[in-house]
Amino acid sequence: MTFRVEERQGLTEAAWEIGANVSAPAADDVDANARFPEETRAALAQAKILSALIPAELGGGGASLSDVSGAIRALAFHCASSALMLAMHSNEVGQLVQFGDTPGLRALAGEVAEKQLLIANANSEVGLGGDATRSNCAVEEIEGVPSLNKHALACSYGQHADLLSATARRRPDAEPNDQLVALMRRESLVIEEAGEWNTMGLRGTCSAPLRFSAKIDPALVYPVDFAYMGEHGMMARWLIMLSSVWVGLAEAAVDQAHRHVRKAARRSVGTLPPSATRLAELQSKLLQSRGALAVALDAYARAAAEDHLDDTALLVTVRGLKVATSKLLVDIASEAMSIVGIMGFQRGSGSLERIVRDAHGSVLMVSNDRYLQANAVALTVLKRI
Amino acid sequence: MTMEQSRETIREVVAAQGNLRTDIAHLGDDADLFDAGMSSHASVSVMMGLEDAFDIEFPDEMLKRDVFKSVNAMADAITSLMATVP
Ligand SMILES: Cc1cc2nc3c(=O)[nH]c(=O)nc-3n(C[C@H](O)[C@H](O)[C@H](O)COP(=O)(O)OP(=O)(O)OC[C@H]3O[C@@H](n4cnc5c(N)ncnc54)[C@H](O)[C@@H]3O)c2cc1C
Repeated sequence: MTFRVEERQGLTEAAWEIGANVSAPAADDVDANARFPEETRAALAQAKILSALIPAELGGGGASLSDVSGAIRALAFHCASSALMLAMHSNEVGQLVQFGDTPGLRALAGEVAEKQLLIANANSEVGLGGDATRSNCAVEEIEGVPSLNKHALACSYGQHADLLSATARRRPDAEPNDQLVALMRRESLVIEEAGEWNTMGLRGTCSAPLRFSAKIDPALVYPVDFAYMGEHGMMARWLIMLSSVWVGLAEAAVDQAHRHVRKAARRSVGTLPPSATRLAELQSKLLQSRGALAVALDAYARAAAEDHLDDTALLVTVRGLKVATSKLLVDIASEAMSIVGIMGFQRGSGSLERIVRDAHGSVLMVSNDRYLQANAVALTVLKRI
Repeated sequence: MTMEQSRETIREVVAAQGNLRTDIAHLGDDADLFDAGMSSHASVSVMMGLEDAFDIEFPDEMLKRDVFKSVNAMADAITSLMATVP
């Protein structure tokens, strides 16, 4: 039920090895203590997977989005928090590669590849919920130096990253949606944890609210604004990578159920265990999830090849993908639990409880209702679905 | 309809639907409307308003930020659409 061996090539295979040998053994501890999966980060850095999306001429792996999606999915099979780290970081890297067309940001991309730097994101802001299209905070001149103070709503592995990327209004008198994106180096930041991260799932992402202040280096500010990047490829990549986590986690749930059914079938050769039909049903749901991801990857590849990453239709597809894969995941995880029964409900080995808890995070990271509403609006003018 | 009339109609639609924080009368034909506070959401209302006002349909390829970023960009798109309509 898992990736077939022949499908696990290149980056996917490398991430699978890390997932199986490094992330999986640590996953329960990461979850129990809501701690950052440091060992996975080190292994990803060693395998140079943190720079997979950076072009070879800048020292990176020159991988495609499809390659990285495979790696994220393989990691999610073993530890969803680790996979989210790779997805969020790769989103920042993808943005740097596509839009960082300035000497300062080009040099930074090279540095990310060389030193395998990890990038976190602090876009969402206290008071604005999941609405990343507006900022309250603004870049202000303090004693002649552009500076930023922000109260971030949730910032995954913010305390563990080498760089932080954040949106802010361009100037104190700028409109809420006139947002720049600045990268800040760890050394230039003063970070204060402004709350706890004690959640039901995805605990290893360590996404506590943070207050931070930093001097802004103009060389590390993107030349285009946040909304522009979002609508020209960034959002599409992000939702594909995020959904890759949900597909990989669903694969892990189905794998547990599959193992259970095989065991039951061996015990009653000649009579099909009742759970086998449930498993067949689960397989068809997993197919929907995998299929949606494949369709979106294909749409992205075509749009990228034709230089149409700003197509509204692509955005509608990836938002639909995120909604579909997250809802299917919650469904698949709880149905897998009913197949496995008490063994899945118990904690410890063979358990599904971490997967079930993590699965519920998919629906609100970011709220499906927001994406559905955005698609509802777009569909009023789009001519083809 | 002259180019000038088209721009006037576009301005009326943007004033009604664009949700700008600045009066459109104070903005030039090349001013970036997104910078002036128009959200993606509002830009979709502008698209619908223009389809209605000009009795046209924007093909999916045209539904992108750059096409709606200024009065002139919209005027160019509308002109090119009207030119292809027999
Ligand atoms: C594990 C995890 C990691 C995260 N990591 C980061 C990170 O690294 N960086 C970062 O910036 N953020 C991060 N976030 C925050 C995330 O991006 C969202 O901002 C946050 O989860 C939204 O919080 P919310 O549910 O309170 O807000 P909202 O999205 O505002 O939702 C609240 C409620 O309002 C409803 N709602 C709101 N708006 C609409 C609408 N337009 N249409 C319909 N219904 C609506 C929703 O359905 C929901 O019921 C993380 C979140 C999680 C769970």
